[in-house]
Amino acid sequence: MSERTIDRPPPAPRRGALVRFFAYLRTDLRAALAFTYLILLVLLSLFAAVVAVHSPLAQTPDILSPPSAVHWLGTDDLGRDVFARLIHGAPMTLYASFLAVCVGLMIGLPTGLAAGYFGGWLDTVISRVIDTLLSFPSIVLAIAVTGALGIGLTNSMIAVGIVFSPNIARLIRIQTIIVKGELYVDAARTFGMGPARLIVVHIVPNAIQPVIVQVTLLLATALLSEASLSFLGLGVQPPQPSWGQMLARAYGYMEIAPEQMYAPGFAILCTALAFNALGESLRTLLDPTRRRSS
Amino acid sequence: MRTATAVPIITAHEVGIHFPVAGGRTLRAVDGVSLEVHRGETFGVIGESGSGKTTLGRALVCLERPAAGRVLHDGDDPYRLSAAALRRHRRDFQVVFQDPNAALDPRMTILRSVREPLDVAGELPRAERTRLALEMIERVGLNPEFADRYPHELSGGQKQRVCIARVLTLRPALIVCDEAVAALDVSIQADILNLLADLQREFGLTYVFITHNLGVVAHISDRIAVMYLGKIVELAATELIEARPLHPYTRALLSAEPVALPSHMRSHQRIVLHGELPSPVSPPSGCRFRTRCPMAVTRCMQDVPAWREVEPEHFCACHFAEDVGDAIVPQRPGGTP
Repeated sequence: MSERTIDRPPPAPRRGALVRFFAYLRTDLRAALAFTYLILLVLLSLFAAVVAVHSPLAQTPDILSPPSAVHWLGTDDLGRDVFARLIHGAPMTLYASFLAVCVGLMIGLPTGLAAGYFGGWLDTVISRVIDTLLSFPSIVLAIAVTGALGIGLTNSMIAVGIVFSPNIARLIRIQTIIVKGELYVDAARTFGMGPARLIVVHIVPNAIQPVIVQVTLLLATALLSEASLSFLGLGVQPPQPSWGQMLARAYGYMEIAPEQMYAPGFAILCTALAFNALGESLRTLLDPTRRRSS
Repeated sequence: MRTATAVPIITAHEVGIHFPVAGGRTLRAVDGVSLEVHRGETFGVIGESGSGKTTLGRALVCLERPAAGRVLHDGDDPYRLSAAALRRHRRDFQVVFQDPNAALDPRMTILRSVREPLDVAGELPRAERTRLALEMIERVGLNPEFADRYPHELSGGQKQRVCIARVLTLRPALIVCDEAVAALDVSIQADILNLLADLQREFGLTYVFITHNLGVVAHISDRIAVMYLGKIVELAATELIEARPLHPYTRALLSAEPVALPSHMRSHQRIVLHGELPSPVSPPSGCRFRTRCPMAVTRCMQDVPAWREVEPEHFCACHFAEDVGDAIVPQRPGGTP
């Protein structure tokens, strides 16, 4: 072949990541809805004191009142404004979900990667520990860990994170084993790439995808776990509001005021759905073979 | 081209590569292979699927660690180097894999993939690495516009060119081509083979060419090793193997090569091998080829045929190599009928 110039044609101007992101959102209604909802939730959490006119803790004489112009969503059994409690519960709920998933990732990812990449006795030991943890019913394990750490929202969510970690570890382990056998990993080894760089450059990007989807599903599960634990009195402590705790209180008055359950119930449902929808869209987006096509 | 006196670039000495299989048994994918590859030559390895040729190729570039024997690079054992020194050393010994689809990270652009070896080496500034990578992409006949694309946007032949460009960035001394053209269309195969031949001249490369396609290996190789069930059964210069194949397996391979002639005009009888390749977990006793050999006798069941130099620079492991050597009429079309 004859010599040719190495000059490249000027590359097409790259649009900013934010612009591309919004362009993408326009093509995916589900992601757009979920994303908008979650942004709204975060904003509400940040400006809870401004949005909610009533205090979430102030008790009034009219208890279990139905929705009205003064109390948009009614009042609870202690006469507190449900709307205010719902809005003030949102940051608690989000904090709890993300904390649990972060703890789960911080424990699960490194152990799973190590087990999958290095194999041998390390894999055997880690796998047996994972099996052991998975053999406990998760809520029982969470209650036990919360009991050991002490009652409170942060502690109970750390407990939920510990309960999540074997799921994440197991997922990333098997993904790592699959990716480790790929030819491009062998190729990188022949270029003299060391294990640390191999894991960061090739293994994690190619193995992480199902974990990202799992994380969004776990965010939803964490939300429900927070609700369950607060319901059981292990999570958010009264009088602090949280959705799970609100549901727990409403449950007691199911016969008298069933509409009490709708507000926290739908809030939990919608947020869990939004996390799931976002995860599903993320999964599609992260698949390079589907990028740029269509 | 060859200098017999120099230290071979690769010396394999009684290399055995074993994999544990279910039931506590061992699969000996490569079992006692010895060979020497000299600087500047093209060394062909031919064998059918499951003969261990790919595993052997991987061992030559330190992707499989031999359980027995040694692989020497320029006379030195790379496994005696420290981990960091081995990583630096192995840049000289590269491999192009059979499946270009699997050999490129689907999440990396072509440019990133081609630049990866230079990034790992980390000896040049980034702009320089990019320039070298683009230069190589052009050198293997790809449009530099491909640089920003992802592997799934390229055809198989283009991806194989990317793989070749990628190993060339390191200016290796030796490239193992593991069925490098088997996954490609015949027309693309010829292009890639010609490209490899050009690059060999340009960069002074040594090739170990692993294939099951005799036409390919004969076209490109200086010497050929014939593998059967984890062992090399015959090794000689290409002309010698084609003119005077000593091992019955080699003869069967040669006669199996398709001939572009109507059947009534073909000059030779095809030797058809019956049966499958036996399991390398429990290979046949004595000569491994005896279960499918048209010449097998009782002795083949008892004694393992010795690996010996039957005639100068022509090695073979068959009990009857000396007897049949002269009697064999060349089986290839164009030879004496």
